[in-house]
Amino acid sequence: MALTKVLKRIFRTFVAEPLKIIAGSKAGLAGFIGLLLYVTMATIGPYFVPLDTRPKPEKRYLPPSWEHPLGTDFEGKDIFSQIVNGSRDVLFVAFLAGTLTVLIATLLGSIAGFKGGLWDSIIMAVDELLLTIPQFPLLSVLAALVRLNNITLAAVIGALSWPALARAVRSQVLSLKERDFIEAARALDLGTWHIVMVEIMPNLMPYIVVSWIFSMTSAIYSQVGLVFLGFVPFTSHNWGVMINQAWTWGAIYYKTSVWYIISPILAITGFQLSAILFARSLENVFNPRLRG
Amino acid sequence: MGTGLKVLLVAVAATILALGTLLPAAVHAQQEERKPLFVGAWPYQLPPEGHFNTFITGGLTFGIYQQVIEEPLALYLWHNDTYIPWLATSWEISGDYFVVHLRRGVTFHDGTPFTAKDVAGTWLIHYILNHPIYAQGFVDKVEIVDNYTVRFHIKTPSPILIRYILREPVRAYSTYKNFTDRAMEYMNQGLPPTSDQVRQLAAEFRNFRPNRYVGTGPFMWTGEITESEVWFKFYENYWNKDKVKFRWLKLINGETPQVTPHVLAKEVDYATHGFPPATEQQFKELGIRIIRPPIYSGPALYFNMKIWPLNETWFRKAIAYAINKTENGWVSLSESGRPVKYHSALPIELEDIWLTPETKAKLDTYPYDPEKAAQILREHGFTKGGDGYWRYPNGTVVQFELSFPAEYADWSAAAQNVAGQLERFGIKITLRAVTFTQHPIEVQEGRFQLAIRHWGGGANPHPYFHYYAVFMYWNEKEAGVGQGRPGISFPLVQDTKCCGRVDIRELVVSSARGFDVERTKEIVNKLALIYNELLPCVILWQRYGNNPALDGVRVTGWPPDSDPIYKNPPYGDSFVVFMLLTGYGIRPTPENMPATQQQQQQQQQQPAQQPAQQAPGYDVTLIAAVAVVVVIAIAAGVILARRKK
Amino acid sequence: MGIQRYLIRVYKNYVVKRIIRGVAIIFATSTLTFFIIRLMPGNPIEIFINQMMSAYGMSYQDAKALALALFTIDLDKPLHEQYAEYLGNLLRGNIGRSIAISPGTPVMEVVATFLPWTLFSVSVSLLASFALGVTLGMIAAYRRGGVFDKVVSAVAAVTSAIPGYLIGILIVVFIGVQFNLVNYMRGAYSAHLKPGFYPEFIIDVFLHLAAPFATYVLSTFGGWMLSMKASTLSVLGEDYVTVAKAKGLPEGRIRTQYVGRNAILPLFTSLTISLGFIFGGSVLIENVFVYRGVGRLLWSSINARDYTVMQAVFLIITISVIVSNIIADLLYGLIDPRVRVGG
Repeated sequence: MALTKVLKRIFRTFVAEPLKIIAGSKAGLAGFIGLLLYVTMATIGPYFVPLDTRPKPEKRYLPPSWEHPLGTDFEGKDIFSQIVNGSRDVLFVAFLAGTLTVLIATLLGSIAGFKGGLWDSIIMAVDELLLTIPQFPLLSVLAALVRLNNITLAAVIGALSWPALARAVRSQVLSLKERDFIEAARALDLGTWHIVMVEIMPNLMPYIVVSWIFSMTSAIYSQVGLVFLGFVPFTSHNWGVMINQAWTWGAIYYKTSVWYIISPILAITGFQLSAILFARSLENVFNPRLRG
Repeated sequence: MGTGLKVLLVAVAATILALGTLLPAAVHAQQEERKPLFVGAWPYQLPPEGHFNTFITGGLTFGIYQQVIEEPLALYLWHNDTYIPWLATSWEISGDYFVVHLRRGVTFHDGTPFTAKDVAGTWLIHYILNHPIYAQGFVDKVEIVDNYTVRFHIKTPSPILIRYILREPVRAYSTYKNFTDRAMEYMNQGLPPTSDQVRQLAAEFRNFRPNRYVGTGPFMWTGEITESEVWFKFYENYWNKDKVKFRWLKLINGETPQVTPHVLAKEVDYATHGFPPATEQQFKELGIRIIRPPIYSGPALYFNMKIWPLNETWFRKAIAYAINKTENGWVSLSESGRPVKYHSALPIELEDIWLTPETKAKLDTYPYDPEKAAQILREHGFTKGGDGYWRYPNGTVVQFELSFPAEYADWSAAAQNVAGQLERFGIKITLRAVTFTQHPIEVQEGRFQLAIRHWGGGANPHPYFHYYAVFMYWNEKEAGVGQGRPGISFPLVQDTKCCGRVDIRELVVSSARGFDVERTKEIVNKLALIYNELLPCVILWQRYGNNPALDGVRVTGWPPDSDPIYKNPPYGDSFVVFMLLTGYGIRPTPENMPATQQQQQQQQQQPAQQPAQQAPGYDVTLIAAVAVVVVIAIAAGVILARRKK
Repeated sequence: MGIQRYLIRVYKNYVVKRIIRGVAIIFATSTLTFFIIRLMPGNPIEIFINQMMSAYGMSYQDAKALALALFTIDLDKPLHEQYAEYLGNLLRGNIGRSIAISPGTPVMEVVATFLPWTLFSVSVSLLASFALGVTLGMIAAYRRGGVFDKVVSAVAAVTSAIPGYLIGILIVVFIGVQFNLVNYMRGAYSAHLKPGFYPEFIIDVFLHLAAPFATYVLSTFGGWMLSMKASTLSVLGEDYVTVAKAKGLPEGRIRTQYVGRNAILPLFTSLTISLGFIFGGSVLIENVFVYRGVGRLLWSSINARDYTVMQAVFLIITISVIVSNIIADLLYGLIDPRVRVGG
């Protein structure tokens, strides 16, 4: 049937082919597996590793052991369980904020660059306004007005992060739009949407992917500072809260307490490393010319 | 890689190596010059933000160390409540006047003699700025009797004014005379500090920037100041020269995170910053001694009594029994978080001075007794659900929000531990961290349910301040003070079992009045009983300092922990300042003496071993190995890359 | 007639339009800033009072009395009047005096003390990090899949994920404490030296810059490297590169003239934005290494709600970011001749 054929084709282009390409690069595969682990930890991890909530002062700041793979915190609670239970909220906000940032930035940057003229002026004016508005005062005013949850937090982070990326995208588009193949497309009257999405975007893909990864990491770290504003729900397993607290409590200065600050950072670093390695495969997927 | 690039890289590497070899020589050279040296730490602002007007914000006072530059009339010892004559030789109450007699033969750093004009001048400037002794109506006039006698006209008698006057650093008349003379005129005309003329003078004064910083103290300004450190040198004509054992004073700038590495490097002899337990542990392992003087305050759990059942005394008592305060103190600040015994709202050390044995016997010590707490709740119709949470008689779950200042490490730990413990007991708690500048405002305006704020009046020996803290500070509307904000909404006129109907506000205010110690003691004991019965807040623990005191590098001779001088709080009547001024206790190590003296001593005895420098005992080898591997890997990669060409 | 046409030509000129837009944004941002910071919860007097009460044990009345004596700000004046006053002063070049962190001190003086050092330390570090990252990124793109690429990419991914202040603290605690170099890891120069252009002082300044510089470069080069690699990869596959190779142009020339110039474009944009923001100081350098800078000034003024200082510093940052953006727009044409702005 035609439907089965279409489904088979979708499966082939979007699942089978990419998987083959990913498996082709060892680093990309490693990254892919890493990300899979994080997703697993975020979704079903908490069921296997329940959160340790009881204060046990005598077990404070223990070094890593079989019982406590990442040691214990200031109250003797297991750090590993906190990391696992915190991953869901943290990664969710990171993913949402990072994606929002990249979507808005790419869209607005491309339109500004490609269309030029009034579109460019207006979009860039808004861009520069958001870029230069003092963020901390703005956030503290917002904190007093809005009681936040994950989604609004991600929206706020996304709304404040897109301007810088948009300008970078715009500059690339400015360069690309004078190329022959774009001129050809314009001559063929293919329409703005088509030109932007089909001709221009794939060329920007590697840069956008890397920017997306950095946006996600930066979203996680911005939560550390936002704790002071009461923006972040103050739960002990939120990685940003953990870093904030470990920092305030000087955990970095003592050899066993240092795990309290290293653990969330290791988790974040591992996430970024996996994503960067995986991006290598994504480059192959998006830009066939590089596959050789 | 292009040849040009290669050459550039080599040049950069060579420069870095060359600079590296210069370092040890430079470091060594500086260390030899200035001895004997004492190194302390205090946050300050670099000029032009920091300036020499030591009366107003931004003034380079360096906190406790101001008193070794600009000295006070007397020093104070907490353990036996005595004043040590310093710039004043004696004082007395004479009729309506507090009269102070000044020391002769003292000079300022610029050579001018110290006279009554300087003392009167200091208090005239305070008049312009509406200092508490004027604002609270204790004193209304300052007069110069003769060159070495000053007297203050008492409007409302109180021992508090004596402490304010005797402990205040004396500034040089010559620096501020432009303002003191005009202030004297206004004061003689009887104008209060709130009058327009005086406020106009204050407006002018806050823009005043003296171009010099002089005092009578042993250490004087050198002008050597950066954002990192500031240096002071000994004043050769200091009046008490023979007692002072150090000749140089260096202060490190910064808050706790900036000062910690310096302490770890054994570059600081004493610091008052609040170091968290993990850092303190590292200090101890490095052999640095930790002195724990009382801070005379600590965190307490406050209740918004506009909310039921927080306004019920029995509920607050149940909470008091439900919390293990010893655990809370340990988790927050290790040995520096000590539980109180008598819950009188007075710090432990003051309880022995002010409370009678009869009163102590009547006080409930609120031990950790979750059974008793549960019983109280059940008596009032609460039930425990299957999920472990208590429920009101109407069936809803008992839950509250607990807010605390985010940046205070010890309070934030205390808050989280309280939340964990109450959850264990069966009350649902949501935590809310608020930035420290904002939190007090939220509490004052009643925007909280449960909050961690302080109890205790800090470095004030008089009980008035301690009872003000728990009854009036966060209770403006009821107390009729401040802006009249609701705060905890604790009614101050109540019926009590211990003392009948009481007007708490009246009691607190009158505790500060008059010089009759016996009468004050009566009032204080009454307030202790009232506090213990009504429990406007639950005291969690009393805070002690965890001041690192380095022994053996530059300084030695720190008195043992049992020495009564350690009853002095670190921020108010600092024992270190006391020791620097009087020569008690600390003295320079042999290595810290100038070269000539060192040689003399070397001929007499073996020089002491300098303790070896140690970094925190991480797995240095492991991390070093990792670093080496990374470097080799990068180098290999670069070489391979070039080979592929 | 001539004037009219001239004005129209001027109006259509891209540079002029750009500058006008920049000025408009600066005005809009500083107005928004004025009102936003006053909307922040708490005000300088409140916060001062609370500080006095908690740090010095003062009662509310005493603290309030002192505050009223110390503070110049008249908070009861209606907001729009305050704003008009602010604008008026600004146009006369007067950015006011601090009202909270150091009441009475002219803001210009304070900024002038810190700004040169901030510009020095941050710009040197930023440019070095950029240069290093871009070079490594391009090499990695060219040798894609090789050992160099894999190792450097992994290192870059890890170092850019670790917060800079952590790397800084580790450097201070390990290298500084272990090798007794802590004194050289704080401050812009040694206290016993008087600033001036003599060799001892200049060496001292660079010695003090070494640690913050190394930390900054270490923690930020990774971002530049990975972005440059990605950008170069997208350019490498382009037809015109193939064409150039086919034409037999030397490898080096292709690298710099064709690939490099095009690949660096988005990074150049980010660089100019970052350069604009160096007027806001670097939290990493100033907090961990106690280096004098505008960042600490800004942070303490925010905490104390010192409106005048906040306004002044934010205004300076806004102007510098807008100016650098304008310069970037105008320079695109130089970097990549194909780029035509204002089309």
